[in-house]
Order: sequence, then structure tokens, then C-alpha cells
Amino acid sequence: MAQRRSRFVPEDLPAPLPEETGPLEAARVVEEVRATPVVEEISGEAGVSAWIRRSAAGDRQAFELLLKTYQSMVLRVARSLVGNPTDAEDVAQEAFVRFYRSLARLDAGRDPVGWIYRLTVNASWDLLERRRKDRRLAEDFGRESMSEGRFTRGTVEEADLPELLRRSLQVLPPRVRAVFVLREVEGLEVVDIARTLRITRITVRRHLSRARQKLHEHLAHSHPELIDRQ
Amino acid sequence: MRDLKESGLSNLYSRLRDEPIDPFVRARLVRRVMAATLDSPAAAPARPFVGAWGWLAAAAAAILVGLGLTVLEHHPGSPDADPVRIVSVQANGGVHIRWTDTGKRQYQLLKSESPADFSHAERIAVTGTHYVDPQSTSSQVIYYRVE
Repeated sequence: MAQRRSRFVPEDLPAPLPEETGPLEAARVVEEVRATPVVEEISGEAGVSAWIRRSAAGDRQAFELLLKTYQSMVLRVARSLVGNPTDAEDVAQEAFVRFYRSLARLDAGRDPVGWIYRLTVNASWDLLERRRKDRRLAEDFGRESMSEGRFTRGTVEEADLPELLRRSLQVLPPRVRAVFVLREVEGLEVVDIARTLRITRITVRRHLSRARQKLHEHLAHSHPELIDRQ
Repeated sequence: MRDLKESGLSNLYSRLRDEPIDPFVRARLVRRVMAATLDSPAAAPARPFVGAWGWLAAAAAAILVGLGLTVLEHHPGSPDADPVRIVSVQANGGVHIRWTDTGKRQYQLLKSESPADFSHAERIAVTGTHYVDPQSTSSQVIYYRVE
């Protein structure tokens, strides 16, 4: 069993996804930043707090450091949720732009990981919804599936496994997929997933059960050796 | 059966957690995000939108296409009405521009090579998003105004 990582997920985060950045106490933030010693890289909660305050005060270098710190996590989640690398980059960009605009309302003393997860999931859902409305999702996925000869039923090379696993996630509905990815890929606890997605723990467990059932059936049919070798 | 299914899937999908991200992809994301956030400082106060009766004050976005790096600059025409926001920089250096849609009217996006003269501007879109292909531009600076 993979080791679970308990992450801080703030319960009283700002209201989700404002279109515009809200009013800021800029002068107070600037004064706080001036009093904060410069550090070269993020390390621990104190480092994160300093760089969030600096970013909120307009320090572009500080924001770039935050971006570099969390970008792998965001790209990984986005890739699992939307299924292809190009869309994942768009989602990651949108998530970070939203993060940037909400920086000033984020409590600098708290780990922003839960908030970033939420922004990433929301940006992914928005993209999937746009795709659905454009009626492109089914066409794109159908075309890609048809052309993915290497993922036909049979043995999977080790190098192809990540892509096959991500592709298999697309059989899940978006909300069920998000719960499964946060749990099994990101290693979040059920309670943290519930806070991040603002759903009940019962719903999280129900989605997890449904996801496992569906993925097990899917993989057992298409690549039974993946199930058997576990 | 259930435990086997759960542990088996956990072991499978936890592998995605440790998969390295291509350094080129990471560098490109940093470039795109930094460019996309240039036009909206984190410390800027929210600007109220001016309503349906008045004409929409001009807002322009200048796009500087440099060598290998797209730099975006946003020049709002009015502090009270600023519907233009650059939302996405594509991997090839192209730019998506989106502007506020109140649901009451649509805006036309004008493209010009001069920030002062839009009399000969090209009308290029009437919907909320426009994509700029850097390969299609002769100038290094393109000005946009939404009306």
C-alpha cells in the first residue's frame, strides 16, 4: 500500500475563483515584506509564507519561485484529470493565474497546497466542460483511442504504463476521477480530499469505491496482467 | 477481493506520483504563467465594470513578440473599464486574449499597429476569445482595443 501523505488543507480558504483580484491591504503587505529577510529558496512553512507575501506585494521573482515549487504537482494532477499533455499545460497555466490573482486573499501563514489542488481541479473541470459543450471531447478521445495501437489489449511495456494508466482514468466521470487522483496519485487523506473539493467524506468514499470498481473492471478486461501482477 | 482490488490499484496509480515532468515542459509553463500574469498585478484593486449605457472605454493590449520569448504588456485605456485580459500564452508563442462579457453586449476586437490610430484597424473578432499567431504578424508590437 502506498504511503499516505497528510497535507494541510485550509478550511477557510477564500471564496473560489474570483474573476478579478479583490481589494488588498497593499501597504500593510509591503511593510511585512520589507521586514521579511530574503531567502533563496522555499523551505518549510516559513519560506512559503514569505514568498506568498512577497508575491502578493508584486514581487515577480517570489511568484516565480512559488510557481517552480508547485508546478510539477499541478502538471501531474492536470495531466491525470484532463488526459492529454497539451490540455494539461493549459489547465496548469490557468490554475497558476488564478492562484496569482487570489494570492492577496490567501493566508500567507498557511500551506497553499490545498488551495492549489482545488484551483487545479476546478480549472480541469472547466476545461472538460468546455470540451463537452464543444462536443470535441468525445471526438478527440475517440480519435486518439482509435489511433493508440500500442494500448490495444495485451502486454504493456513498463515505459508505456503511465500513459496507459492516465488514459484509463478517462473512463471515470470527472468528479469521481478527481477524487481518485487526489487519493491514489497524490496520496491525500479522505478528510483532506473532502475539504479540498468541498464534499462530504461519505461522498469521497463513495466516489473512491466507484472509481476502483470501474477501473478494476476496465483494466481486468483490457490489461489483466496489470491486475494479476499486483 | 475488495482489499486486493484496492491495494492493487493503489500500487499501480501511485507510480504516477513519481513520474518525472519533462524539464522543457516545466520551463515552458513558467514562461507562459509569468507572461499571462504580467497584465494583472496581484496587488491591483478590482476595477468596476462600467455599464451598459455608456460606451466601453478603450482598452489595449500590446503584444511584444521577441526572439523565442513572448512578452505581454497590458495598457488599459481607462481605469474604470478594463475588459481585456490576456489569459493564455500558447506553447508556440501564440496568445489568447479574452475580455469581460457582461452578457449584455458583445465587443469587437480591433487590431492595429498603432496605439493612437484605430481608424484603419482590422476587425478580427466578435466573440470573447481571440488567438494571435505570432507567425502571422509583421510587427513586433500589436495593439488591441475592445469596443
